[in-house]
Amino acid sequence: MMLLAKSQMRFLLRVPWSALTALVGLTLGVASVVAVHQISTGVDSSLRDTTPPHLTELSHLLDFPGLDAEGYFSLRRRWRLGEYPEISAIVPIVEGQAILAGRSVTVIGADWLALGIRSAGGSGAITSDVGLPVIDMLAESQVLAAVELGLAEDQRFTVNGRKYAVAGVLEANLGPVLFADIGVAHELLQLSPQTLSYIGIRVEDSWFSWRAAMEQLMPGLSAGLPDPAVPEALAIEWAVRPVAYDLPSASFARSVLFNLGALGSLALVVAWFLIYQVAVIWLRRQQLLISRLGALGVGPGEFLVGFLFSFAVFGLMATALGIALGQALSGVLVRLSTAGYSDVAGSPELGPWVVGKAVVSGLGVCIVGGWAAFSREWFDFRLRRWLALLLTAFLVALVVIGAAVEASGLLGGFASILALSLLAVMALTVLLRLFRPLSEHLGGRVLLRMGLRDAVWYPRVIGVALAALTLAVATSIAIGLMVESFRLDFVRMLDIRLAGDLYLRGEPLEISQARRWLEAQPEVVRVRASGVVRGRAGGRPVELSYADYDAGQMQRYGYNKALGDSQILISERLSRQVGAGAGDLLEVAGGEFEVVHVFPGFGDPVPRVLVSLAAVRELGLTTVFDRLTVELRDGLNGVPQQVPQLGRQLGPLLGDRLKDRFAALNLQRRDGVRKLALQIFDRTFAVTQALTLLAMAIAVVGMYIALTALRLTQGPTLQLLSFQGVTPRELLGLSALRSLALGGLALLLALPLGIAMAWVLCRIINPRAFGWTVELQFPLSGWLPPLLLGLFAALLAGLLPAPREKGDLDAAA
Amino acid sequence: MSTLLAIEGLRKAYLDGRIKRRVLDDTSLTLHAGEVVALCGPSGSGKTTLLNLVAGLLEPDQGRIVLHVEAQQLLISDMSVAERARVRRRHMGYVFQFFNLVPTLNVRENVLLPVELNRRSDLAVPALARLSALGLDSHERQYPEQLSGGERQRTAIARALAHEPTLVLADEPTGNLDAENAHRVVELLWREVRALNSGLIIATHDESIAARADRVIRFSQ
Repeated sequence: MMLLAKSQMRFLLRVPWSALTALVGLTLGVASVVAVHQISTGVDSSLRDTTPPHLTELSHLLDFPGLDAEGYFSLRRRWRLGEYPEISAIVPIVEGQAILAGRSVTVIGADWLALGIRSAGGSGAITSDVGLPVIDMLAESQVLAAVELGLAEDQRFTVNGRKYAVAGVLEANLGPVLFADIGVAHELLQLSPQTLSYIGIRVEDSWFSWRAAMEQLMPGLSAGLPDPAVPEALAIEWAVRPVAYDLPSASFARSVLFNLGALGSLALVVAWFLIYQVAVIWLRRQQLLISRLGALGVGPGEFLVGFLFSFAVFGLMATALGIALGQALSGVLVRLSTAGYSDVAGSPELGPWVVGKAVVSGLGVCIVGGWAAFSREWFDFRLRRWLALLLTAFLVALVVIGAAVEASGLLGGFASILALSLLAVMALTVLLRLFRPLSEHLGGRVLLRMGLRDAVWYPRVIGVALAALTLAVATSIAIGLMVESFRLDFVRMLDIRLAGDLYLRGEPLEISQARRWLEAQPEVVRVRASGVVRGRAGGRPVELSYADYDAGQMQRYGYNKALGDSQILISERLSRQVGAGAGDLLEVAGGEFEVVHVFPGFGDPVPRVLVSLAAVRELGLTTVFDRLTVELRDGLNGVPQQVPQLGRQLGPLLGDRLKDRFAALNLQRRDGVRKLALQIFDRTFAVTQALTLLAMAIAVVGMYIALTALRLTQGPTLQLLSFQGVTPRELLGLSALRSLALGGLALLLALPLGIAMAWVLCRIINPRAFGWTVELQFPLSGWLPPLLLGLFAALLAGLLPAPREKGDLDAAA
Repeated sequence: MSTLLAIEGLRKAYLDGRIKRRVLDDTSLTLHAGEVVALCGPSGSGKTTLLNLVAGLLEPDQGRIVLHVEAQQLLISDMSVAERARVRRRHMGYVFQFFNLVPTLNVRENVLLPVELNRRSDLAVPALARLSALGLDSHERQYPEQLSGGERQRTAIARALAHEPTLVLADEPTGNLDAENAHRVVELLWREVRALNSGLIIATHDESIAARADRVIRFSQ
């Protein structure tokens, strides 16, 4: 057995070029898996930092109108008596707005003990399960402040005549928020101790124990799982929502991580095709050896062990290289992308999960690919027709279910994409068989005919590599179309959100003064004031944007009339969450309004509601204008180029005068913001583009190996052509033609597959993940570059030189 | 008889590890139109090397190879790679031991390959007539995988002669055939070469074939 293993290892040394190229391909596949994992881990870690501490360990939030302490304790009693065994924690929470130094801040109070925060000894110091700073949370008058408030640790402040101390600062982008014990929060909010906003619970479903492990395996993977189900009795009695609804940006990010994870897996799938192809070719090169061994009485199992041993060694080498490359690649990709999240600085250290994943990927691909190739070659395994039909039917069903059944979530969406890909691979085989008889009737010059026929006559040699190329190109097209469609929507969103030429923010008093002053300036056409306040609609946390919305402003949102006082516009995310559309009535901050239009929120971090100023005042909510949108007569000529602060780069006219009078205001040129937003957008998707390019590179390697193998089998033909006086240039042309024909075949399938995948991404996955439907567009920039790249990749694979190796001479012996 | 090919003082050696092995040492040969010369000797004695040198696929270490064609003298041994390729294309035909038919071309297309490469559509009709004379007209649309060994070699012969070359080189053309087919193939080759008034150099270790040649040149190890 060891001799056989040795002989296989030596075979690898006798085909160094072939082995090296295969090693490169597999290394890239493993590197992709590692890079994605590391990027995702970094982003996930940042996401945890941005998760409000009171929600970290919770799965759902419960409330009902008039919720108070009595309701909470009643629920708690029933829980303690074992009525809801799925629930492992219940936490009362109060939330509201208080004024701190003239500024509206959110105050959140929770029973921290119920969250698993426990006292450690008599000192009163608390250790935390959830990563909170070690503070004395039970002490009176202590709060945690989010960094945006600008408060320092140990700083004291007064609210409603009472003094409070900042026990710690949360370095996370949580907005202007104070966290406190529930009793302290009641004080800050001047609420009765009976008042509660909602109750948090932690539901441990059958997936619970798996979620943590799955998140370690692939950060963001749990986004593809269904949310844990709340006990039915609770769902009837209470208004229930998953915590994810209150963390839309985190959900958004987790969905992106899931998508990234899927893309990383794509590269590995392509690498599997590569290894399978390589194994088939190497087995064929050793056909003579295998038959001789068979004559000597060596059984297939014995040869297989030796063969797989050599592949395992190969796989381990690729794994080691892939880990190093992946770690480096993740650093590059992280720098390339801002992703709009909190800081993701550098790559995390290599942990046991990512190393384990790399080993399983590299080794697994080699073992499984080698075994599959061996089965095919040794036992001449072919898919019987009935099995092929059954498989086709199964895949079609998977496509339909994944796309049509919303409950299947992200996993269902991606399962339908995977099924589409496998259907395309099967269709490729059929296509090659169909084209062969057609190619026999080709006309034209003999070398042309030869080149075109070469592309379809050897499906067993190049079929797998062609499938890998098709998959890589299709994914590139799908991502390209999705990103371009997304971009067009994004630009539309910017048009909606970034109306006007100038945008000013500041304290309400200064804003009010600035408004009056601006309205008197000759350069100014119009000044619109607006404000934003947090509230609830249909039980969901929302952002209420208020202003005097005239018809002109409403048109930006797709509604052609001025907004009445009993009317609202809601974003698509909220519409999906509450199941409300145009014509429905919706409860907002205690009042009832008619939804007149649903506008594309483009995955707004918090669902938005547009409501008139008068309505917000009627609801008794705080209405101050803290922002102005200014339209200028001559555009931005009078305004400094540099954003965002006034006082820099002064220009003449309006900019000078604004700075002189209102130095504290934050001024932004809309074009600068738009440009920055688009830059962030492009950089975000740079990671996905890089991953698809990686998959394409692996496919090129596979194609190269397959075409090299084809060239070997055509040795006698090449010898003949050389004798017939066919020049090297003509032979090169023949290779090029064959490669282009192969590339063309791949593209024939890749384009419809890519469009189908893009449709699923835009119409199925994007709404499920991000809460809005992207209108699929077909700009040339979305599909043409990947097509051309695929063609170029095939050409490159066919024209790269293929040195003759000792292993080939053995085969000829 | 006019001279077709003149080889003078040909020398060729190969590096075998560190040892230089001389395969051809001062070999000379003259071939006339319509003549058949057999190269006879054991494997590795230099027969194929000589054929490849004449075909211009290899360069000699020393010596001259001159092909007389259409009142020109082509000094093959001094030509560039491209020039030699052009000479081969137009003036030479080659019959391989293992047929070397193009698997993606049918019999007709294989035979017409040299005609198309030379862009001599005027030679297509006689080439196809030759196909018929070789008993292959019923196989025109078949592909090499559908033919027997003898049919493949006859196709290869038809291809080698399609463009009416001045010189035909055959390297063990019967090496892969049974005795009956070998005899038949040799008969056909002789007949067609003489009909075209071309010259034929055939490498063989089959003495019965060598005996039928006009001259035999023996190679020793």
